[in-house]
Amino acid sequence: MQNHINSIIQQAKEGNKSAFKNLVDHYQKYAFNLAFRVLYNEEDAKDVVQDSFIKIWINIKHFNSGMPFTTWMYKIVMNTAIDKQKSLKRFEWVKEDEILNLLTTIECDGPDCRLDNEQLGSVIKKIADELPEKQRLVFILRDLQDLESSVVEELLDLSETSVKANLYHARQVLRKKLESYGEQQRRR
Amino acid sequence: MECRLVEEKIEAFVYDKTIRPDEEMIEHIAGCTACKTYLKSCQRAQKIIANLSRAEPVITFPQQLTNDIMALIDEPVLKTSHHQTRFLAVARKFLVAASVALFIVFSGEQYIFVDKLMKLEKNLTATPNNKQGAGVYKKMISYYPEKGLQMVKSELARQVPESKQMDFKSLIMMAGYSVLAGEELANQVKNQTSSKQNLSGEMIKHH
Ligand SMILES: [Zn+2]
Repeated sequence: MQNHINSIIQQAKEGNKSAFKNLVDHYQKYAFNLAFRVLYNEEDAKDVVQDSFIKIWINIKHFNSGMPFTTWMYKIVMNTAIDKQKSLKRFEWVKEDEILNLLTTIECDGPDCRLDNEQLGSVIKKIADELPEKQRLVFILRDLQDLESSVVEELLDLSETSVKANLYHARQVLRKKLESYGEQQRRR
Repeated sequence: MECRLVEEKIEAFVYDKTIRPDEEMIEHIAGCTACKTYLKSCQRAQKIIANLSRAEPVITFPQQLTNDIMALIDEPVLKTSHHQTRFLAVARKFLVAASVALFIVFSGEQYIFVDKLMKLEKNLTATPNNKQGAGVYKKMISYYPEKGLQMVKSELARQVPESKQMDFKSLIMMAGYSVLAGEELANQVKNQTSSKQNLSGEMIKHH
């Protein structure tokens, strides 16, 4: 599999568009997941995926095969998503009631517990948006995107200790936040 | 053992499945209500976060997204067309105007302004390489003007702290409009001049 991907990347580096299309097909889902988790909604995430793959196409000649392609791609997607977020308006409030319901859904494990994109975006936004930027990104990359610490260090230019500390603080904030939601749920 | 140390151990144990709880920790939790509550609270948060991570967002029409990307890459119109040449001229003027906007936002902190502008200039003119950012904007503007300019705007906005974002956004918007208005005016003058020249040419001929 990895050899196959490497050969597709090599062909794309040589300007082969159909090889590049295979790359887009294969990786857009991963790019989309990350962009969605940073931006909380499908349309903005799709824009970011588009812009990122254009940047990737323009620069793939210079991609150094010594680094995993996904790390390089994530770096481009993440920076594009952060830029995009700066240009978006903020302050879209989600109703507290609605969030409590969504959290109950997320906490259960049954097959009926699926959230659609809009609901999923609302929950991530509600719990992560108020974190300081570094903590938010470390949390998204480590806990939601499930990336190895070494990859996160590379993506955010942070040391291992700094990733650890930011993640620790983010989880503390989230734990307290979820605790207060838990209390509200019990009072209902 | 102190509760604070136990809390750290609990955190590590709850989030990292490879860590086993040690005897000392188990004993402490059994006799300490605060740490018991902390453990429960951590486990609940971890479960919600893990479920959130598993709940992946879905791309509606993924094939359409691939096609859109490929269509943008195939777009041949922008390579050398007149539209692009004119656009690049507008983009250059926009950058000049944008630097004025930055200057106003950072008035009184000129060393910051110079630093931001130098960074931007580096990004715009550098040869593209593996380091993200460098050179990308220049290429984006020449291949995909509208998107490229949008990116430059975002890059500029990224250099401006939260407290100055509003000032910066209105200034950058004004900068964009004045460049377009200036360009429009220049075109009108050019058209008038050339039609006048044509007219006088015609008159001379007829004379
Ligand atoms: Zn204790």
